[in-house]
Amino acid sequence: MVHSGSPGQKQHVTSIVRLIAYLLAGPLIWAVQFSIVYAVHTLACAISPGETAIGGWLLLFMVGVTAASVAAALAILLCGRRIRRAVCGGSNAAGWTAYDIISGFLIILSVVAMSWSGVAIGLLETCDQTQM
Amino acid sequence: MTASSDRRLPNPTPRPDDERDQLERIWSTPKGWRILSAVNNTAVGVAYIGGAFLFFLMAGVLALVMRTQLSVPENQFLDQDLYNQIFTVHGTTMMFLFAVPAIEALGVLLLPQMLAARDLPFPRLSAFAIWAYMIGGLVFFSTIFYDLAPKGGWFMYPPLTLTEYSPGHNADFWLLGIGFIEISAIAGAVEIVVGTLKTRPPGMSLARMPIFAWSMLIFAGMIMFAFPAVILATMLLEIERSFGWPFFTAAKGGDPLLWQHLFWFFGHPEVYIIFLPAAGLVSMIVPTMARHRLVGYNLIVVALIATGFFSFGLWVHHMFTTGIPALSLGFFSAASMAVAIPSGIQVFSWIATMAAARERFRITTASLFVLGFLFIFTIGGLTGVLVALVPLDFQLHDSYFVVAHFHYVLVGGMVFPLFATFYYWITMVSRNQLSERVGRWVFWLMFLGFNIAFLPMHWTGLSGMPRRIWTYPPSLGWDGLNMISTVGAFILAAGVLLFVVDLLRRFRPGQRENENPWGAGTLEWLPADVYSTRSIPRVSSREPLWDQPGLAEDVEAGHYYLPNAPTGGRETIVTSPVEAEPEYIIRMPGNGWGHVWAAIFTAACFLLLTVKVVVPALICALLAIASCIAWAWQLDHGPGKEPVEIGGGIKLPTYMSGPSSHSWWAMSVLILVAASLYVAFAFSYLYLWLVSPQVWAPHGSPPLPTPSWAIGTALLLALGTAIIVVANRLLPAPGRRDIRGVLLLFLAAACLAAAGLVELFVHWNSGLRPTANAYGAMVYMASALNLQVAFAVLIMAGFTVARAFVGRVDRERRVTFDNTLMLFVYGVAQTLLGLILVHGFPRAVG
Repeated sequence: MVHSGSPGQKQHVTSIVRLIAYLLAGPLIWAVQFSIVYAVHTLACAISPGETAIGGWLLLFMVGVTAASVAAALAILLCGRRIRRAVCGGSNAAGWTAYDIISGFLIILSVVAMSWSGVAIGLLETCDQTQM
Repeated sequence: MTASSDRRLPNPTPRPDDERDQLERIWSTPKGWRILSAVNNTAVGVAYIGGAFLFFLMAGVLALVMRTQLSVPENQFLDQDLYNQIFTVHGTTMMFLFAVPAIEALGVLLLPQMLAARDLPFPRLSAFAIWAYMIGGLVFFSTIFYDLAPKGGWFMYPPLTLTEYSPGHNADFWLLGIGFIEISAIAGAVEIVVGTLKTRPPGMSLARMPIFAWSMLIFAGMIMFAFPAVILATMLLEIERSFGWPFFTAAKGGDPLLWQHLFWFFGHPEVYIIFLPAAGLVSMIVPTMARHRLVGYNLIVVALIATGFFSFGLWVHHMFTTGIPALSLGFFSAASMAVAIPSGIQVFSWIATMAAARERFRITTASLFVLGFLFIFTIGGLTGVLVALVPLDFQLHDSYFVVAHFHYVLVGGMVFPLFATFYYWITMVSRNQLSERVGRWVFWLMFLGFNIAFLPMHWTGLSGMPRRIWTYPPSLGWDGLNMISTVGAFILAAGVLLFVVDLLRRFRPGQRENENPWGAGTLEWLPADVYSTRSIPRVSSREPLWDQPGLAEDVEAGHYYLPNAPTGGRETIVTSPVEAEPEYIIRMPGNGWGHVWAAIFTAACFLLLTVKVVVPALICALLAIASCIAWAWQLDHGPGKEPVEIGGGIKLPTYMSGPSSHSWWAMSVLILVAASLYVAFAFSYLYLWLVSPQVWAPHGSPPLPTPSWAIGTALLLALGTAIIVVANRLLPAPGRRDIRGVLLLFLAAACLAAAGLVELFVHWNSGLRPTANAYGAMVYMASALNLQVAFAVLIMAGFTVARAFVGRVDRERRVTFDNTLMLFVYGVAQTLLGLILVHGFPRAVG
C-alpha cells in the first residue's frame, strides 16, 4: 500500500509552512528590515567613501523602512487571530491559542528590536568610522 | 470492566505473549565488536556523548597546561609555538568536538524517548555522523602530539592562516578536519528536524511538545543556516592555501574581513546553538524538581525562537574594531542588547517555576547544577551586554575580560546544564544512579573552581592583559590574578575528575530499575527497553505522566499504538507535523556496516587531502561513495506490504512517497542547507565587489563572455528541466520494469553538469584565471559550487538508473527518483542564480 503526493499530504506540508510563517512573522519582518537597512547603508557608504553625511535621502529611506516594518508588525499583532484563521485555519482551541500567544510575543520582541536599532539611525552619523 | 477499557485505549485487550520477544529480537543491540554496526539511538547516543565527553576531558587537560604556563610570569614551561597550538586545539575542540556533538548526542539519545518514538527516522545517518565525527575528531586532536596542530586560534583569521604566514599542514588540519566534522553536524541536524516534526506520538501537537524538543528543533534549524557559512569559509580558505585563489589576499582584491563575516555569521549563532538546547534541558529539569508545570511555557518557546532568530543579527559585534561605519555598529550593538531580552525571559520563567512550587524546590545534584548555571550564565549575560556596547568593547576587545565573558556564557550556559543532565537522566542508560553525596562535592568543586578561575580574569582583562599571550613580564600586576585563576582551574578539574571516578564506579549499561525516579511528567520516563516504549501513547497534555493516570502501565501492557512489529522489522509511527495525527508506518533500517565504511572512507579522504596525498584520497572518496550506495541500496523498501493496524481502528500504509514522506522532508532540509551555502557565496561575491566596486572586474581582466553564452547555458538548464518532466511521466506502473524514465532523468542530470562545464569553459576561454585576482576566483568558485551539486545529482541519477534496472523504481516506489528530481530542480535554480551573479551583475553595475 502506498500513498504518493495526495492532496492531503500537500495540505500537511503547507499547514506547517503556514504555521511557521505565522509564528515567525515578527522575526521575519525584523530580518527583512535589518537586512535592507544594513545592506543599503553599507552599500551607500562604500560607494561614497569618506562622506560623513551621504544625504537626507538615505536617512529618509532607512527611517521609512524601519517605520514601515514596525507598522507591518503591529498590524499583524492587532489582527493576529484573524490572519491566522485566514492563513493557517485552525480553531480557538488551546493549541491554536498557544500559537497566537507565541506569534504575538515574537512580534512584540521584534518591534522592540526594530525600534531599538532604529534609534541608531537618528543618533549616529551615517558613514563615520568610530575611532579607537 | 478494567481501568484500561474505561480510558478507551487503542488496544484494550491483553497482548500476545510473544510480541515483546519479537520486539526485543528485532531491536536487539549486537554484541562484542559487532556493536560498531549498531544503530539504535540508545547505543549510538551513549557512544556519541561518551565521545564528546572524552573530547571535553582532553581539551580540559590542555586548559590546565595553559593555566600552568600562565600561573607565574616569564614561565618557560611551554614555548610560544606549542602554546599557540594548545589554545587553538583547546578552543576548537571545545566548540566543534565537544559542545555541538554533545548536544546532538543528547538529541539522538533523548528525543526518541521524549517523543515515544522507537528511534529517529534515519538511524544509520546518526551512526554515520558519530563515526565520522569520532574518526575526524581524534585525528584532529592528535595533531597536537606531532607538532601539526593549527596555531591560528579557534577562529583561524587570515591573513595569519594564509600559506605565507602559516606554512605546513597545520592550518589545513583545521580547515579540512573541522569542515568535515561540520558535515557530520549537518547530518545530525537533518535527523533532528525530521525526527522532531514527523515522529512525535499521536496527539503531541507542536503546542504540547516538550521544551527540549522545541530547543532541539531550533538548534537544528540554526545549524542549517549557520554552518554552511563556515563550511564555505573553510572551502575558500583551503582553496586559497592549496591553489592560490586569492579570496582573502588584499593585494589581489580579496579581503581578510570576508573570513570574519562568514566565520562570525556562523560563530555567533554557534553560541546559541550550544546554549538553547542546554536551556531546553534546564526547562525539563526545573519543573520536575519543583513538582510544578513550567511557568510560561509559551513564553519560553517565544524566547527560544527569538534568541535563535536574533542571534543571526549579531555577528558584527565580534568585529566592532575592524573599521565598520558607526551606524552599522549601532545596528549590531542594538541587536546584541535586544537578544538579552529573550534570554532574560527564560531565566525569569525558571525562577518563577521554582517559586511557584507547592512544596520546597528539591535540591538534588541536578538542581544544584541548574542553580549554578543560573548564577554563572546570568553573570555571563550581563558582561555580554557590556561588550555589546561599542565604546567599552573597544577597550575590552581581545583582552582577558572577553575570555572571562565567554567562559561564563559557555561553561555556565552549556557545561553546567550538561552535568545536571548527567545526574538527572543517567538512569535512562545506566542501571545505577550516580552518587548524590559525591555529586554535591562535584558540584561545589566545579562551581567554586570555575568562579575562582574565571572571575579574576575580568580584572586581568581590565588591567590590560591580552588573550593568547604565552607569558608576561612580572611588573604588570597580573601575577596574583593569574595564580588565582590557575588554582581555580585545578579545583574545577578536581571536580570533573571526581565525577569521572564516580561515573566509572557506577555506570553500568542497561535499563533502570526505577522507571521514574524523579516523578517527572514527560514521556522519556515511561517504561522502556531496546525498542523504546512497548506501545506508543496518545498524548493529551504537555506532562502526560502527570495528567494521564495509568499511562505508564497501559503503555507497558501494549494498550496503546503499535505494540508489536507488524512489518516484521524496525518501524515507528510517522505523524503529521502540526497536529501529530498518524500518517504512516516508517520502516527503518537495522544494524549495518555500510554507514560505518562510508564514515571511515570519508574521513580518510579528507585527512589524506589535508596532507596532499591526492590519489589515495580520491580512491577513498570513490570507496566512500560506493559505501553510501551500498547503504542506500537497502533503503526504500517499496510498498510491498499491506496497510497495518496500529490500534484504535487506525490502519496505516507502510510506505510513503511525496511530501509526507520522511525522505522528502530530509531532502528539503538538505536543499535548504545547500541554498544557505550558496547564499553565503553570493554574499561573499557581493562583499568583495563592495570592497572595491570601482574595479569589478579589475582593470586588465578579460571582458565577460558574450551574453549568448549565458543564454545558451540557461537553455541547457531549460532543456534538462523539460526532459525531467517527460521522465516523470515515463515511470512504469508498479510491477513493470521500464528504464526509459530514469534514463531521461540521467540525461537531465547530464544537462545540469554540462551547463556547469560550459560555464567553466567560457571563462577559461576568455582568458580569466582564478589565481589572477579575487574576481576571477569568485567566478570560478560559482562554477565549482554548481558542479558540486551537479555531481551529486549525477551520482543519484546513476543510482536511480541502477535501481530501475532491477525493478525497484516505478510510479509508486519512487522515493529515489523524487529525491534526485528535487536536487536537480534545486541545482537548476542555483546555477541560474550563478549565471545572474556572474554574467548579469557586473554588467548591471559597470
